[in-house]
Amino acid sequence: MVIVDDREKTYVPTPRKGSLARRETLWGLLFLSPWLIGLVVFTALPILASLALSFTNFNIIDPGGLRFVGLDNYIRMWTELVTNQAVGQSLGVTFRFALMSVPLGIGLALGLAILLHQKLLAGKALFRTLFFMPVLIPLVASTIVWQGFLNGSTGWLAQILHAIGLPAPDWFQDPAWALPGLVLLGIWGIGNMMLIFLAGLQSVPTELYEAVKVDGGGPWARFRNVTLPMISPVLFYNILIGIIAVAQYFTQAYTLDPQGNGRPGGSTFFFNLNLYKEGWTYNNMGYASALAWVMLAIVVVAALVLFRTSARWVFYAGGDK
Amino acid sequence: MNRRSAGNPGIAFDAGAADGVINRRRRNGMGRRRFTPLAAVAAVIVLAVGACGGSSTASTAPASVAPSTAAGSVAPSAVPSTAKPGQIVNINGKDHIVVRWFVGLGSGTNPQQIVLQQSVVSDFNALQDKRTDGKMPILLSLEIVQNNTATDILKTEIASGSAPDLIGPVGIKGRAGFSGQFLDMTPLIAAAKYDMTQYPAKLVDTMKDGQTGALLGIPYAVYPSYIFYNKDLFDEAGLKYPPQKVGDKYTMPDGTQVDWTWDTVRKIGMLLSVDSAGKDATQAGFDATKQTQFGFEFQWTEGRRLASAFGAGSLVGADGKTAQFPDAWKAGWQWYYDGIWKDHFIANDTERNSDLLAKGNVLSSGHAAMGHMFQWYICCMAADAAKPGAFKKWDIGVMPANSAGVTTAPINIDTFTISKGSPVADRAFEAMVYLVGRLDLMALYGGTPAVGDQLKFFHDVVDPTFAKTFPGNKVNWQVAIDMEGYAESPNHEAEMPNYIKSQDDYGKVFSTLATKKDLDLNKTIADMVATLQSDFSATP
Repeated sequence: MVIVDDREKTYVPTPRKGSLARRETLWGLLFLSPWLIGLVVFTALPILASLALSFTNFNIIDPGGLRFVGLDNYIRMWTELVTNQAVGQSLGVTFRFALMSVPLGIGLALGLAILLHQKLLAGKALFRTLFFMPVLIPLVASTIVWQGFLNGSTGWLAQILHAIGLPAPDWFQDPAWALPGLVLLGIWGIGNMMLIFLAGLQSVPTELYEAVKVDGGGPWARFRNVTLPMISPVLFYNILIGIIAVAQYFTQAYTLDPQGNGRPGGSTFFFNLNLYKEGWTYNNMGYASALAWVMLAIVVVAALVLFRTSARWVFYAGGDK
Repeated sequence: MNRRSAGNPGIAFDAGAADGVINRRRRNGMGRRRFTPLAAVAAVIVLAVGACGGSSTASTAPASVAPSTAAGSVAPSAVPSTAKPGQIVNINGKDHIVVRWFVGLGSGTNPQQIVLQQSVVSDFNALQDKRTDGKMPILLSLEIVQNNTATDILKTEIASGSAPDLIGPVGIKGRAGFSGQFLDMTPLIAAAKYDMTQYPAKLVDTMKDGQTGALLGIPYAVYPSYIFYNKDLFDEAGLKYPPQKVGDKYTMPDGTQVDWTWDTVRKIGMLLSVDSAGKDATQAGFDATKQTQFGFEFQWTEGRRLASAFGAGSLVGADGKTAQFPDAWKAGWQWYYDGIWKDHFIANDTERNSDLLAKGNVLSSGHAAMGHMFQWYICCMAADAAKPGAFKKWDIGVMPANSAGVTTAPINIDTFTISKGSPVADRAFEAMVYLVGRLDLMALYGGTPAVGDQLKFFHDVVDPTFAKTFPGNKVNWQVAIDMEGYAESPNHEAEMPNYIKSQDDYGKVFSTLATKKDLDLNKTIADMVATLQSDFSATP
């Protein structure tokens, strides 16, 4: 059978924008302009301003004393990094937290999504709702609730552990347990990630599972050879979002210690807490701007590494990336 | 197949629609064509300006409270809560000069205080409308922000050139974050012929900038500190109440008379600390991990405040640049540390933040027998009394003496300050003098007037507010007045080089006292002094 593709013979006129199309574009832009103006005024300009300010000594309560200091802020940052002062400590806390929370969060979100994707599970909608609900609770409120829940003396968890004869950690009062406590708090809010995984799982063609079954593969083979490759773009997305979320981590740590010292004993002194302290407590807005740009650079580098490696492990079913 | 219906229905429809548009435009003429884009542009501008909060009269400050108004004379919508400094507004055909009053750095943010402040502003504005001296009436505009965000908001306002005129009430520590931003009031005081001799020189000194000597305010509310005690818990333990006169002895359970010292507080504190089995901290088998009651609490304390209760001192030496930690302060920190970890009559951080101890509001939980408390705490006691388990019968006792027999009572002093850049500083001063005279406001702030008959103030203004909450409870306010005489000098919040950084660094160390067991306190303090020295040396 010969298939003739007659599309090539079809005359396709070159699209030309008529006056109507131009007018529609203009109208569209006009109606978009409140948002565009907002984007420029409240996002783009402050970003550029912070870049410029990072090369100055800008003190928020002495704006008149503003002067250009070149790379001084970046040099100070480097010094604080190599001497393990505020920058070194806060980066250390942030990296440790990332190493704990991102893999654990991804693993648990994926595990929950797989459980909720089971055919035999009754009340799926209810479980999805329950697991997603914590996402709707404001971060400050959930942190305060978790502070009470994890209190080593009267917290529910401590009481449960005591009741079964186990010692209860002092979570947010013990420097060794504070970060794991925050990881636990973060895990409570993985509903969003779980939903994204669930959407990915639901889009995996069932024929592929049937093919593995026909080939004699068990559940692990199905997960390893079908599920994981097919949801790898979703996994990639969630890892990227997870890294960005850690780079933005602030509210929970600040709620735990509004003084911004990362209590207890600096164990929750995140990079953004240091940034906030420099800018708002010590009034060094120029230096705080430089800190913000360095964090942006770290996130960009992490994202680039992820994108570079994605060719090896992210599978796009359509072949497009 | 019908090609038109199956293949290009959209083309036919679009063409018709386009024709329709053209025909309508032709019918409506050019005026309509011009008007529509103009209307759209106007709508966009209105939306953009609205989104940006560009209205000159609307309240735009986050968390700010609705402006108050002069009763019957000023329409609520006409009063700007974030007006520009020196702005003149016309109300009911009369020009008014705006003075903005910023509240949030200290007292003034609880609901009852907010309501009263609004009422005070209304009263002031009403009086202004009746003034006959030819000066333009002042329109006092109130901006209240929550305490935890007040510093950030004020800094933003300063940076954006819209600093308020009048700021307060604010203490020494609250002021310190704004070094160089407040006006030296000396010329204003001289111009207004305000009598400063009525204030004790000691109080006036606390109003001065530690670096420049500029007078940043007039003494307003004084908050002495003393020992609060829960009578019910003392009665339950069969213990005598703490003395109410400096020098009086304390009678121990065995009948012996002892000096009222910190060591005595430790001993009776242990007797008042109880575990879930009902054993006190002096008894064998007492389980400190299951404590249900504590003997003592330094309510909402910090390092220098606590240390000053053991004797006046400073982190900076007489030369103004050498870091130090006085011996009396070391003894104070050691007493506190041992009280938590060794003698178990003070809660550690975990216990303090538990539900049992009202998440840090320990005295109000009803599970602490005694506590070091400042006068400002009474502002919040009425609300606490309604909570289950809260204390009902209480009184205050004098501060204990240190090992050298010296009694020291840390004191807080609030004032109002005026922004350095205020274009209406003289008018702000005028409003300030009015506010300083409002004793009802001071009572609600929990303060005591810096001058005048303080006992009368307590009986006439403070007692009635407690009559409903604590019926039948009588407080010996003379103790508070007496404690003013034992105020520490220098003040525990006094200036030091690189104030914010230094305060932050000793604060970090102090917080570990309640979280870390087995701390080498001497080494911890020595390391802290070294850190402070580098902070002092790096003074900007």
